[in-house]
Amino acid sequence: MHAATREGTKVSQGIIGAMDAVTASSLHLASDCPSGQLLHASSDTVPHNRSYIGPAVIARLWARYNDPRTSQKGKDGYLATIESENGIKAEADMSSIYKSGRAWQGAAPSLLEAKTKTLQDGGFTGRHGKHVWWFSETVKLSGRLNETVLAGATLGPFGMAKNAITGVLPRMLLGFTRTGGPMIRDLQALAVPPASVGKMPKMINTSVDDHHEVVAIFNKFDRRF
Amino acid sequence: MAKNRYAYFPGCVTLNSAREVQDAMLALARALDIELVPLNGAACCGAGVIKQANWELQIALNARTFAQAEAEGLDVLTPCASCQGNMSEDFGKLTEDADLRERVNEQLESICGLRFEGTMKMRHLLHVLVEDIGLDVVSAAVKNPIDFPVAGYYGSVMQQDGSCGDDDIYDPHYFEDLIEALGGEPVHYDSKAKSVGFPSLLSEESSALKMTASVLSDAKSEGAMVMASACPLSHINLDSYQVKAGRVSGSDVEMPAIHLPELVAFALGAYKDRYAQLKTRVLVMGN
Repeated sequence: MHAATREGTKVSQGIIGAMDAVTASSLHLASDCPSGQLLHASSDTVPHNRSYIGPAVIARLWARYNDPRTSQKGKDGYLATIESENGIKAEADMSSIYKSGRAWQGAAPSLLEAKTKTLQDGGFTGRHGKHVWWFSETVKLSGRLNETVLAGATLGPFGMAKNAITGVLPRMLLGFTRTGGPMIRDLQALAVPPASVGKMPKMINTSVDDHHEVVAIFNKFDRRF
Repeated sequence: MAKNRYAYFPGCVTLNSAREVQDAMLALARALDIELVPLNGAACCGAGVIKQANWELQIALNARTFAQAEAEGLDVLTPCASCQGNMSEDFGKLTEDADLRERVNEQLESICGLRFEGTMKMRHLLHVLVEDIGLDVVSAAVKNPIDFPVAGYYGSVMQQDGSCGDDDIYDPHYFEDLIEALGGEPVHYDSKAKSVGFPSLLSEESSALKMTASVLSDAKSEGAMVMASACPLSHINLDSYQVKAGRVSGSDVEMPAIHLPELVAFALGAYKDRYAQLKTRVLVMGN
């Protein structure tokens, strides 16, 4: 740990570093978890990605990153690890950690904060950034998620082509594994665009009622989108 | 007027790539005398993705939906486990944090003239069927009993404190009870509440596919011939990405994957042609 230079208080035992109560409480809360091993094991991603450093390490690093006792050099080092490919981006679904409930009351929000910081620092680029950006953007545009735009913007043309080869797109296009009604009804959409093709999601969404309210909420709470 | 009325929040996927969920919801509501009051102005729940950019924004969007349901005096019913989990989480945050609630309400009042008071509840179809309608009523309405082993998939998002009704968070059993009431044989498997990594399907595909394969192969090894999902979002992994998941993991994952509302609607006698189609697929694929 690279300690930061900070203010101290003179007490009978000597000089000790001072920290305000709010910061101290938030630091305690951020690393409030009964067992690092259990927190690590609570992630459903861990068994399937051996390179992932895991939620326990990330929660601990995030607490240290926010600790005023850590120097800037130390913070930079912690953040680099958190934001690396094997850091928070490798967590495929944080809900598996939230599932463990009150035990991780402090640690679970730390992971979300770390992900938010990672996305912001990266300018919402890369697959993770684009996924969150376009998800939010399409919701603002119509009030509903547009799955077609999201997949196209996140995967890009090469990703979409790969899905065509590996069978994902044909399964969606033809809907032959689904029980959702006669295929001919879906194929009619080919002649009347914009509409869905097979079990493919729609290309253009209709807006929800009072869509301007959704736009206003976006504008009030986050003008980036 | 139906005895059971709910503000209906289908979720984006139900109205888009999974229209079969919407078909099945309307059919089962008719059969069980449930009135689904549409929330036409409701926006996307954020699916836990918007909150990665700005949690307060996602909470404000959901607070608007909650306030719309409260204006109708109804609880919200959704067939989507992701919507249920994420909206319940945001509901909890709004009720616990008075400052946040005030900030959000101030904006809601100026934008839509609504306030969130916390008088409604978020309900998933599974919990409504078990807790409100009653499995005895469901069982009495069955016309085409499900006659094959079914693995119920809960997913991880809904299995949180405050999201899963009175069901057990860690070892849920409502889905198995429901399958039994529909005449089917419930398959008990460890991965029923594990994540398939849907939120990262497009960004962290390798992990998501291995997680998907793990759930499918676990259910299959326990004798499942069909998987029914309580989450239309996870269903995309379980069905559309099934072949790819099998290829990445090298495990046997082939199995028809349908939605929970479809299973119920088929058993209640709706869409006989689709049920026949499913039975054919079960016969062809076997176990």
